[in-house]
Amino acid sequence: MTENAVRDRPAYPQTVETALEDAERIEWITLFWLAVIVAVMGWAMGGSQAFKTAWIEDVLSLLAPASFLVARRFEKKPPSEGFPYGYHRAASLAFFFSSAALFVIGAWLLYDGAMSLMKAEHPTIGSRVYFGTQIWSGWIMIGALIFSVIPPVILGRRKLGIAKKLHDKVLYVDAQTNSADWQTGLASIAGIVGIGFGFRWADAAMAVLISLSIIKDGYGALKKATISLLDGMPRALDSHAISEDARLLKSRLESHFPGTNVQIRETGRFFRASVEPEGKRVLPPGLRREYLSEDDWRLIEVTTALRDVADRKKPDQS
Amino acid sequence: MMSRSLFTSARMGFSLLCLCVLFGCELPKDQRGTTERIELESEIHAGYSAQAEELAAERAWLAALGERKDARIEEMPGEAHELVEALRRGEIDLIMGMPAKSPFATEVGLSRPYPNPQERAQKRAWAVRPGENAWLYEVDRLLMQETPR
Repeated sequence: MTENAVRDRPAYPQTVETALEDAERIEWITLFWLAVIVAVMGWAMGGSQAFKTAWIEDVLSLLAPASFLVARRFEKKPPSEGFPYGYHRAASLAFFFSSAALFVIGAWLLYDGAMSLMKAEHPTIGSRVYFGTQIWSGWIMIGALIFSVIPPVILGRRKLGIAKKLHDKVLYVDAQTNSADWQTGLASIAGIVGIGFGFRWADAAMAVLISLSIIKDGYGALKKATISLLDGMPRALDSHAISEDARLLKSRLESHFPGTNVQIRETGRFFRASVEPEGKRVLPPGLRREYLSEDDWRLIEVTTALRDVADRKKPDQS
Repeated sequence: MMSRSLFTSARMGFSLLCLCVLFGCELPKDQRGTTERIELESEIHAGYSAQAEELAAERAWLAALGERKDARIEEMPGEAHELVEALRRGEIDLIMGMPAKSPFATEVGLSRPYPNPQERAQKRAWAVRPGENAWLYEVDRLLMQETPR
């Protein structure tokens, strides 16, 4: 606590601090395994659209852990003159970019898959020779896919618990994507087996299916990121519904300050609440002009913060 | 995160694969039955570019393929793009001794490349109709053999 007072910055409880360290470590491990998977699958790559789509999804799933780690770098920086609030929302911004990428590339893959489905392309998969033995490349691709789902599913499960402890959306979405990776792998295997059995459409159909799941993930994440960047009421981790904690906080503050309007928003992992007199949500012109002589309409709020029990007067009394 | 019914079908496909591995059925299969047709008609239509300078190794491989499939070989020389069109329509079963890197590579099913006896830098490959994966497997197996001279 004293250290916190010295730094004069919000501090995390020890459990959260530990969870953050765990999260950073596990995201580095995720990056490592994903890089291995991308390399192995790139090596096994053959003429399957579904396989290509699954591979691109694995490349894309590098974005979330990378943006988590980059955002952590920024979050740790102290506030400065240019950024007096600090960098709490670095994660939201990184999240926005990675989900936008997911959405756009998902849409492109959907187009690609739909085109090859419509053009009735006949996916061709050849064979490879290892130590004088001929192996159909489809088997190698299936092997690579089976390998590719194991690390993400294990890591995803572990990250899910940490994300809940941290109320971290980036980590949560990343964990969910990882734990659902087996579905992509399975769909892709089905596509290749389809080629094996001589069904030309199976591969493109599975590619379309995987691209739809990428779009769905991207859209959901984009929505979450947009809500938090637009100062939306804090949302639950696993849905777009307003978070129970925020609801409770609002009703408690409202009962403590009757006749007020309580607004809550989320900056990074932190909640910020402001209590304003009902019906007087903007600064009156007289007061505005006192502080800002030109374009005074731009000033709508001056906040004095609650720091002590004694500060808890009703805002309209001040 | 995808819809459940679609995943059920994916899972069924996976079970089918497991069954397949257990009972040793042969994958891959052709999408348009080239192998079956050859076995039925005992005839292989082999295209080759009329400009190709030397195809001795390819002819020896072809003869071996005919022997294995118990099929008569019908050679069909032609212009490269005409051959590719004929292959895509299924009028011929393969093109032998194509350059491995050619603008047509994406329009056909290409075998593993092998060194060209004349110019080692420029590799050659055989082409099959797209999606004829069993037939391609057969051709690849043929080209694994030491170049018969």
